Amino acid sequence: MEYQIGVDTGGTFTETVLVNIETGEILYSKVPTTYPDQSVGVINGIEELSRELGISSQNILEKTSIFCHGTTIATNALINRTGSKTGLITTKGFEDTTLIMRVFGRVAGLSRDEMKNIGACEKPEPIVPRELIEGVPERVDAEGNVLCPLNINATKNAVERLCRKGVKAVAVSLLWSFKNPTHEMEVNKIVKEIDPSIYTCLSSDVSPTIREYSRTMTTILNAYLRNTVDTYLVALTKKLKEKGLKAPIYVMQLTGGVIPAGEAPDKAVYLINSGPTGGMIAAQFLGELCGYKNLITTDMGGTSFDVGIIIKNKPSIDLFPYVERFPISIPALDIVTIGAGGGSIARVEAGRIKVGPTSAGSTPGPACYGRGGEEPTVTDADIVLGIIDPNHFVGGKFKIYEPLAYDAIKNKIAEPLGIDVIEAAEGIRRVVDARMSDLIRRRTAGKGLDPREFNVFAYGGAGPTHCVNYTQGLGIHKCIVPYYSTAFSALGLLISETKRSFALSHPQKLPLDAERFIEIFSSLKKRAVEAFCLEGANLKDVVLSFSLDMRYRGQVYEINVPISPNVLLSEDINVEISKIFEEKYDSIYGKESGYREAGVEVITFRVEGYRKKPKLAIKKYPISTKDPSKALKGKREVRFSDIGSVDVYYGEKLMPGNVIEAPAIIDYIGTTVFVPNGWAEVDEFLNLVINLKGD
Amino acid sequence: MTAVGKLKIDPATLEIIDHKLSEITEEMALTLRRVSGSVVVQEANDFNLAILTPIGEFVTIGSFNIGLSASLGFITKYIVENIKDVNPDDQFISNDPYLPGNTHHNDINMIAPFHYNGRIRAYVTSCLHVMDIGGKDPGSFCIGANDAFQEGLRIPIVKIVEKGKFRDDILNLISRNSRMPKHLGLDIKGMVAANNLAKNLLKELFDSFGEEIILAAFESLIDQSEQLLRARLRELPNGVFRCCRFMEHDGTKRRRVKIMFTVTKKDDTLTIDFTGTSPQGGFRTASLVATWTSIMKAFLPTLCYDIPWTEGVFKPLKVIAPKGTMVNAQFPNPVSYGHLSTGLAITSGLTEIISRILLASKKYKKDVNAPWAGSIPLTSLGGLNKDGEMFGVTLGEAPCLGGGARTYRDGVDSAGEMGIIQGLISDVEIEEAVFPILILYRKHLQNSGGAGKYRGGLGIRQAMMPYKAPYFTFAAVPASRDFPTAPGLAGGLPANAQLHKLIKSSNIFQRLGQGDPPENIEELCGELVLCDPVVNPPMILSPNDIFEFYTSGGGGYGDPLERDPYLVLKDVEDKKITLEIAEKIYGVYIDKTKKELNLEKTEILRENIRKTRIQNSKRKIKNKMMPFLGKKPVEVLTLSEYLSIVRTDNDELFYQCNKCGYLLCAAKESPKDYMGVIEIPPEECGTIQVPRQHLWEPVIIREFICPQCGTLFTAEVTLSNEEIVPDLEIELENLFK
Repeated sequence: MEYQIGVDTGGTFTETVLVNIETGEILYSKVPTTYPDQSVGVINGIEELSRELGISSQNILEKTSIFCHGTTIATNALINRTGSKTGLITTKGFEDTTLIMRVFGRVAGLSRDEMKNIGACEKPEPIVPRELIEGVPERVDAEGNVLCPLNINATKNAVERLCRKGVKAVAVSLLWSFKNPTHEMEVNKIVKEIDPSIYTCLSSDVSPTIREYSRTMTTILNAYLRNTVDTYLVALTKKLKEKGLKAPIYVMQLTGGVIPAGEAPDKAVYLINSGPTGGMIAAQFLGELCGYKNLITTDMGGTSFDVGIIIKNKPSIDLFPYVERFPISIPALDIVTIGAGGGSIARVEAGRIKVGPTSAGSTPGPACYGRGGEEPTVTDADIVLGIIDPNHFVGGKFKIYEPLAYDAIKNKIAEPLGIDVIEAAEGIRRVVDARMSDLIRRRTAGKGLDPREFNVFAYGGAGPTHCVNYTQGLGIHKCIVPYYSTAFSALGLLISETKRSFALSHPQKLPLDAERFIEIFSSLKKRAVEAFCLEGANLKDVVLSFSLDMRYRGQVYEINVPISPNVLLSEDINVEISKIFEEKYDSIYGKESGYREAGVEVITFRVEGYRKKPKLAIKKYPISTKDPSKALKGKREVRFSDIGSVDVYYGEKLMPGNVIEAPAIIDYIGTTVFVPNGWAEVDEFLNLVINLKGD
Repeated sequence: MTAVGKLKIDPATLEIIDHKLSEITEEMALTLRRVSGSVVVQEANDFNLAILTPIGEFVTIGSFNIGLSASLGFITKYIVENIKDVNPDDQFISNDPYLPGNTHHNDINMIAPFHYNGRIRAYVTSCLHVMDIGGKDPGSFCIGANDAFQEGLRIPIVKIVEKGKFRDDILNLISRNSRMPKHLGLDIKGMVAANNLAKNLLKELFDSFGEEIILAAFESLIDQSEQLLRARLRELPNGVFRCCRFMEHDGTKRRRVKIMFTVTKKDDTLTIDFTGTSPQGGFRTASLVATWTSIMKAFLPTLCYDIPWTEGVFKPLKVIAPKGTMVNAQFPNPVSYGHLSTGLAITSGLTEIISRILLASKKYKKDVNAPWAGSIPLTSLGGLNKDGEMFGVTLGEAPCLGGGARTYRDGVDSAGEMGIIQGLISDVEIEEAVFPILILYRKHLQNSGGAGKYRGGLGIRQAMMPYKAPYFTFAAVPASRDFPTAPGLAGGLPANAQLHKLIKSSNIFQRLGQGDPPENIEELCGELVLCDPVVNPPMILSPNDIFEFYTSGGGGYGDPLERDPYLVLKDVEDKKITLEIAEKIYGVYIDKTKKELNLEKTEILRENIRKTRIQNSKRKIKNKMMPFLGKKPVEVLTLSEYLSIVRTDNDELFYQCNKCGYLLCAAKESPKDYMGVIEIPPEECGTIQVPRQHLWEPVIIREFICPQCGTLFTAEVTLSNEEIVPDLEIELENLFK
């Protein structure tokens, strides 16, 4: 017997997936996330599976070959500002860079409605307050020449001041350090001499890339979160080892790959916002397995709606991501989030129904939870409309109070607007669905992609309940609800490969000296190879890819251009890469949109490596009959869009090949799929494929 | 249910349609950024988009630069009323500041009719700031221009897309007039593409909801915004509110320039009257559209942030802008810097007045903003880089202003410009990579936020120099240097003054080589030049010349003596203010060596400052009221934390100091006439000011205090010969009830 375990700790629930490698069978559990010690929830999730299997957790863990974990520990420490007391050493004269926040910090991460209230917009609370920021005399120019040597005495004084103030970590980020890191290294030496216990983090190590604000934030966040991540992972590892785990533990990163837990503390910034990436990787995997190349991944949970794009089986990447209102210089999976989930609160404003972005969360939660929540939420609307069965929430384990949902909608929406409760509930659902649909449109058509060439993956607790409504009208043909939709992120963890990214900025107008080209790529490649060797990877399993961030001169933002190794061997590298850049630019922005005469420049060199691992073999079931009647549960009255009485099915009893005609509802233990129109078919992996009605 | 005309639209549908219309502007923005690729569009978000009805009324206005929206309404209405030959798939371009109107030459407007079932059912429009449209100076901010002909190409309303065919000949005609023809071409194509996209999206919207529903929704959206704003205005007191703004020059010559605001709030209407404003002249004069956009910048985010931005919010508004004055330039008066000087002064002054009106309401007190700066210090650079290539740039850091203080919290430091919702400045490394410059520091400017119970946000200071540039020109586009342009509110004090400084032939590289970069360029050897604010023709800089600029902080809110001493201590620790200011302006005693707060000494210090205020007052207690013997008067209208109107037993209304209960005067009088008055030079108000050498009369801060307890009611920035403006005439009739 051999198992693989993936545990994804979310804000509300901890999902655990266990794969039996020999049979391909997948089991999952969902337990509440525990605070403050999330590792308790991790163990609980495994215990829950052990009970289900009737095998002791010791026995399971001993036979586990891979253990992957997604954690919100870094994100939470950032949101709640509970990281280590961190100081910043930067170039004198630029102490306020992380407070000025390029001005944009005032609105970064806010919704359009929030931004319009200019007087009320605030910048986020800085991670390093002004009193812990020290500027040291030094200066390097854009070419890496030292204009002003590092003033050693002033640096010693600065470090001593920070020590007296009790900092536990120091981030060092000097201007142009990616061109010449010597000053940062000297500062590091001075800190270590004065107090070796202080954790230091250099921007030239974490992210040697241009743009000092995001590079400095990356360095600060890494220093700030390091201890939190370390303490947590050390404790978790100890617990799991005690329970018999022998396999290495891997942790998810926002880049969409995992790293060994031992490396994670020094790369703590990579763990922020890693939550939604697991689902996207699972969608990529299932998409490849089932033959869907272009996908829109949609994850609707309790508080948010996350949308990612996969083109030709590759997740799209954001070169300039934001985490909790701060920019970082690490390319991340491009996932856009809005405040729309089952717990999103509906209200009346300006004579209309508004939904979100505020959420009732899990406490008090939607009114129907009966935990004192009085605000009507999307889930309350789904209950009132008859779409969710109050007796079947989380497989009936969770008590739902329908009258409370009714009263909340009546008091807060229907009466103020003078409409009836059903109309109000229907309004809530329509508004939130339209909002999600608008986001999908903006992420596809708005970026020059044709939504008709995409299929949608819908997961998360509320995604399957709303997916037909939020995808309709976009020209999308299929909406796929994966069988493991409620544990989709955890499944994604098991699929994710080890991934490491290395970058170096070297802004330069083309043509560039070919030797310099190869030199930079070789040095990055060397670092990558070393890191994988250290992990114990067989180099045959390591795939390296090369790319350049490039732009037309005079432009502000680069695009990432993959460069195949052959190009590096070609006779005229410059001609080749200009051509590849222009093709890529045209494919993103349309023909003739670039200002070619301005010339092309290279800004950042990137090498990315991942370690291949055997593909997870998910059990494939034989196709049986079209008739789904064996799974029929009964009828339910839906008070939405004049639908009326619909057939309800047990999701777990459906067989591959079963075809369900709309309108229908399929109750799974963790979610409810609502198919108001079109028809659905169960595929050989038990996924429910909803064929949308054409417009 | 909103019932308009024949059709009723349910509240969910209306919300969905409104959201989809806003999304259209977002998608237009994405397209514009993609195709244009220019720095101002991608980085500074210096553009805006709007959708209008068939009669040219706004249905939705984008949330980018509010300043680039008013022209879209003016031009669309002009097309509706005057141009007969409008065909499907036509697009009109225009930038003429005079007829039918535009902000200034650089702002190019693109208007496209949207036809459905053969009839015009909407207009989709874009406007963006192009980097150069010709004229005498690179960047088209034409310093010292004498007339419109020196400011670049004027395009009347012209079809650049005719029945779907893009007119390359017209594009060539336009771009041939720019120093950056290719960029201009991409900007124009970007707008055409954005409008085309919007038309496709609108068509989908009409297809899915039906023509009748969408047209009715347009009407409902406009009507609803109007009703919401009118209802809000009715909650606020009626009265006449006044203030002034001054400038020391108009861009061409030094003269006393005054902008006079008289705002009448009557029931559900607001009239903004600029009568009394100085005559036009110089490129700091605002075109009528610049005046409108500047009004919108103050009005939309304060009174309407939660009301959809449609034509409806303008219907309760009346603007009187006399022709031929600084607020309504008549051809051929130059206007290229009008929106950023007179215009920003309008935004600042109107923000002040709206805030004073909102302050008289418990419900809206939270929405109050002390004024933001009324001008910005632009810097234009040009020349050759080390490879001998031409470069030219107007620095994007100029609008890095401090935000006005709120009634519950300090203003935001380096907040941006009020009307540019999504403003952004470049990283130092990006600027140094692209231009032949070296930036020596970019940091918050200490003592720049206006003092107050809540302090204004800080501005910045930035020093920079040519670096490896064989040829380097520098032009300081004038800001108001001699005046602090962000006054305080309700007892708050003004922010700093802005300026450009230059040190010629400095020893900077020597200092750097010694590991000793300066905190402040004035530490360097070399000749110090304070750039003349009137006419600074571009000058050529040598390799050791360094220049610096200050941007303005925001105005303060409330009497500084009321500020929590711990916040003052924190400001000192964070280097936002100096110890000296903490003591002198805030009356907070901090032990110099231990950096500890002494609350007892603070109390004494504050009491002394109040006493000194009373002693220094030019006006002592005048017509002292009879001590009040009857019952305590009832507060009927609270105008600020310190001032209210009260009603006595015998139904008489008085102005009262809320701090000590002193009755100033009968409510029918102007309370300022009965307050203590202190006049101090701007240097005394706790923020950095600039020595004024050439002024015809001194700039003063006129402080109005309670003659009994010394509380600071209000402080205004004015000129010594300027009479006291009666700033408050509250309509009293309703207050007797």
